[in-house]
Amino acid sequence: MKKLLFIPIFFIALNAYSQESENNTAINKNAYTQLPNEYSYFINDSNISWAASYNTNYSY
Amino acid sequence: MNYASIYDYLIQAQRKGFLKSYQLRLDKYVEIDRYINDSGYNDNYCNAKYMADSATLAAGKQYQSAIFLKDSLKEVSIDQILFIQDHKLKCRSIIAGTEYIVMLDSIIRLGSSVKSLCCINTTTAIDTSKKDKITFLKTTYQLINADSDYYSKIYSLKKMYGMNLITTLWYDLSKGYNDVLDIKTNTMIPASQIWDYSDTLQQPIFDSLGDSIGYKKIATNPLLYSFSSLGIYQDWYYNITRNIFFCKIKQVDIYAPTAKAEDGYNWINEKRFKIIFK
Repeated sequence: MKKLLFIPIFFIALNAYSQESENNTAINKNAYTQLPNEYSYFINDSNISWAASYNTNYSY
Repeated sequence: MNYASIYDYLIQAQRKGFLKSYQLRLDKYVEIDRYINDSGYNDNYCNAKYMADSATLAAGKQYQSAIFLKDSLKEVSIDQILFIQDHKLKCRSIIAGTEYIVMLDSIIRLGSSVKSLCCINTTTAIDTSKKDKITFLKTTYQLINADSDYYSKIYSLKKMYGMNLITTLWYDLSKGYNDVLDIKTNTMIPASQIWDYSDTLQQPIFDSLGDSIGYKKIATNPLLYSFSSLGIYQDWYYNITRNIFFCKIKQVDIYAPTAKAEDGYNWINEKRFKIIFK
């Protein structure tokens, strides 16, 4: 009887996991996630003592 | 690359489709050719279809002659991040975009704007592999003011004890990893004298009657507190295989006010120190 109880619990958990993975793929399709997460890299690296971003125009 | 410049190459590569272009306004990748045609931009990278010079305008005729505008604008806008890592000043270009001319229908040039972004650098490493095809573009020289991160030009991401870029570089020189040359005296500064490195001035000594009887040498404040701007030499490269820009910084100049005469007057802001990264 206890083994039979595990079957619906297993399916409920599987359903929840699949919904979560669908949400993750929906986020991954967003183009913003293709941009690099550069700011966390510069802040977390302890060898970097100073960092700043700026924009300039170059005529090559 | 069989193109006139990297500017032409970026636009043609986006139009042919082998270089991904990115529109921030539409939140997705789009076909740059369709987008530019819809917004009225022609092959001359300009949104005005008919251009006129003063002679034809007087005669009441308009004809298409925007080629001179195409040649006048070869600018690539690059978002980059400057940072100091492992005792070196480095730069990483995040994204690049080609500038287009914006004009009114009444043939008034408003300026230029970036219509599409490309060359997204998703790697954290700057070094490229040996198999990549790389072209050298040019060496640029750029001045960055010491107080520019308090204004809108530079957006600061990380600081160490509130120091700006020049002071952080100067602090790093005191560890002795890089060489610094004083251009005025043409001597290399030892790492132990970095913090209190100052100029020497001659101050006259007067007797009780007010006549000058000689000079004595005095030291000014440490030059660290008067650095005005930083000049950066950047060697720009383009990686054709990965479609990214990257640059290398080998040396920088520090500008500081320097007394031209030995009496302590006539201070001129000039190139004073040169840092060579090993």
